[in-house]
Amino acid sequence: MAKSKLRRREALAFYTFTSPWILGFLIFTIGPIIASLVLSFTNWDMFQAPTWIGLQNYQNLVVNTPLFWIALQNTAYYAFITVPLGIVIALILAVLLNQPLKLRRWFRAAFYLPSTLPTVSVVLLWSWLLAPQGLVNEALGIFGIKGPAWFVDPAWEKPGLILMALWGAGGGTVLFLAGLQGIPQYLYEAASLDGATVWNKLTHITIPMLSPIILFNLVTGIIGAMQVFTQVYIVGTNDSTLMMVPYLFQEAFQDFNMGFASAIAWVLFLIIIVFTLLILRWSSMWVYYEGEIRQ
Amino acid sequence: MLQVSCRGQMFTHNRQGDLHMTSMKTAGTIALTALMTAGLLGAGGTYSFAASHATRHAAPAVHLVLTMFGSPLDVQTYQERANLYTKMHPNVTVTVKLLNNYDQEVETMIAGGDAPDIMEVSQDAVGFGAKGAVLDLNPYIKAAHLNLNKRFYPGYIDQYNYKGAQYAIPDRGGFMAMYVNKTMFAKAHLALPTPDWSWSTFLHDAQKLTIRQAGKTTQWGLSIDQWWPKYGSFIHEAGGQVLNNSETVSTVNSAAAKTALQFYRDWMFKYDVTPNPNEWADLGAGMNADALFGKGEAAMMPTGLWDIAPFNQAKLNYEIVTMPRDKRGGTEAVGTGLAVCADSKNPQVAFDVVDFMTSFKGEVPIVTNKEDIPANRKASDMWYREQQGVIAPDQWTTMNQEIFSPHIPPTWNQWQGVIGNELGLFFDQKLTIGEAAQTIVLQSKNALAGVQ
Repeated sequence: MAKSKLRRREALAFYTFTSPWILGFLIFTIGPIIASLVLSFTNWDMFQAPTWIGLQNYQNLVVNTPLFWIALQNTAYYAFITVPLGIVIALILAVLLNQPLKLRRWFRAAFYLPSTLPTVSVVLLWSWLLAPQGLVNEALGIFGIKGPAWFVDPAWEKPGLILMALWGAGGGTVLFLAGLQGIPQYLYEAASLDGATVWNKLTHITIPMLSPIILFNLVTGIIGAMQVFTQVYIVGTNDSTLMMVPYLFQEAFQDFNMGFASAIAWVLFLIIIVFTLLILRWSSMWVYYEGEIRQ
Repeated sequence: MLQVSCRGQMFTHNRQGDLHMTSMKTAGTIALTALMTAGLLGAGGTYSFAASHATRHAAPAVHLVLTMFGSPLDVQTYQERANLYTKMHPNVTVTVKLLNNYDQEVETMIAGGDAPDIMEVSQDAVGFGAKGAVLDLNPYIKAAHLNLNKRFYPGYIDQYNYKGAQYAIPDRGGFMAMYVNKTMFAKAHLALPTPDWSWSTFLHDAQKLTIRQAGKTTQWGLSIDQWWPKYGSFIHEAGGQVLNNSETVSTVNSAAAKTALQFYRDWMFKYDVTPNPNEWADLGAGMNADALFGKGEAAMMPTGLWDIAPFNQAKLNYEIVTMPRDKRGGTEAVGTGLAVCADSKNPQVAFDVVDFMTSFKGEVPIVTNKEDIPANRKASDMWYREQQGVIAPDQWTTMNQEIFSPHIPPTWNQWQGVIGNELGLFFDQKLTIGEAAQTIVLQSKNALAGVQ
């Protein structure tokens, strides 16, 4: 009896605390989501009544629209390089910042700071750093490397955007740092007694213990990177940097093809959901949850 | 002519503020019309108590919303202009709404059934019109006996016209003109350009005005970017055009257009008189063509007339001259217009307000608030007289004669995507003009037809 009362209280607390989000979702988000799904089957220019065209938007998107494939390819290129590299950099930074360093707190703040800056400011800063005669190319010049015209040459615009994104890896570092501090010290002590090297400890203790955070960063990173917008909107000058959300925005608000843009949004959603499910399924092979008992 | 029509009452009003009756639908309105006419005529074009009193009590209250983009000074000026109308017609009030993300917000308002009555438009007017979001104003223009060619320089009008439908009335003016730094011209012992200066004189001057020291350019002869009205003006001067007359295909593969575009790129890479894309990137993210000229690091710069106030503030010693000529002169118009939304509940009153706001009286606040050039001829001449001699009279006359409207198709944004992408690669030396023009022509057919 007492147990069920406790459960009811827990459930009540759950619904009370999640209700702002649930209400917000029901009132502001679910309607537009359903509307966009319906609109994706219509020809709608926002000003005249939509006309039902079935799957034609999806067919046009896949079969007749080269720009969609360019945008998808560019987005995949950006996401599949930025996300894994970002995780590796964040993890390395976290491990380093977890060491008993002088000015450790200062370093933690400094590495986290870029992820808090507005994207527009970051783009302006990196436009200066990545200018043909900017600091990055000056640094490359020290090693005899002639740096490219990052945000000018279409071939180098995407790598420039990736470099800019990696500067914000400090956001993931904070999560890894929290995870590192939760790893019991006795695991490392036991490993040391067994003669484990630093590398052994990293690969057999640190990374497995941080694997849920790696999974979290991977999933949220892929979702975020597939929806990259602001920096591409500012920096992008041509099709070489066209990505899915800027393309969707262009179709919806500049070319008045809201039905077609809704179809792009749903295709993007499906791509993201497929990747997320694949990652989640794959995660059972490498993610370790403390207290988990595997069958 | 300003026309006011409420509940079957119809008056016309010319831009001096005189009101006279043209037609009436009901006998009951005759007395009211006469009262208002007498009141306004008696007041010599200023609003009278009699008219105010009559309108306040006879006409239904109409509230309109006007959406616009720009600065707080723009909001203030639009509101002042709208209030002038309200002063004459107290039953009509207008709220000016500044939208920060203009396109998205105004489109969402229209789609959401909350369309403004009047909206500021630019190159999107024809697109909105073709989609039925704004009205073809021809019937209203005709009923008001409004002569657009008399009110505006002809070059301003066609940018809002598509296949005979007039989707907006020109409101703010603006066209490409060449700013020249007088101190730099004097130091180089060059005469200031005359209204008939040619491409060769322009290039000669740009070369003379470019100064290099120790392999570094310390003064550019020209500061120019790749904005469409800039290269568009040069294509026009060479005798070409960007689109065919029916706006179904690009004509940038014509010899004239290719010559102009090649000439444009040669300033960067052959003659080195203006920064190339890499050099622009090295100048920093905050640096653009206007800023380079404004900082006194370039001797010439083509742009609109909106830079006068900041350059005056910076005490720059400059003058504004016509664009150089090749086979003909040409300065592409880039202004804004006022359109009436199709969903307005009071389209006639909305048109009347637009008619008034684009009249001389309605545009005077643009001049008195020291904004950029109004589109109305008489107001633009008034604006010209305020410019402290930065434009010589012969230059001013030539400029106004040479304004031409860009070809604006309903799918303007898609079209800009195509031409911007390919010319970007051309200006960056990734393509030849032949390759770029061929792709543009090929892709333009779909873009202009609205195919994704």
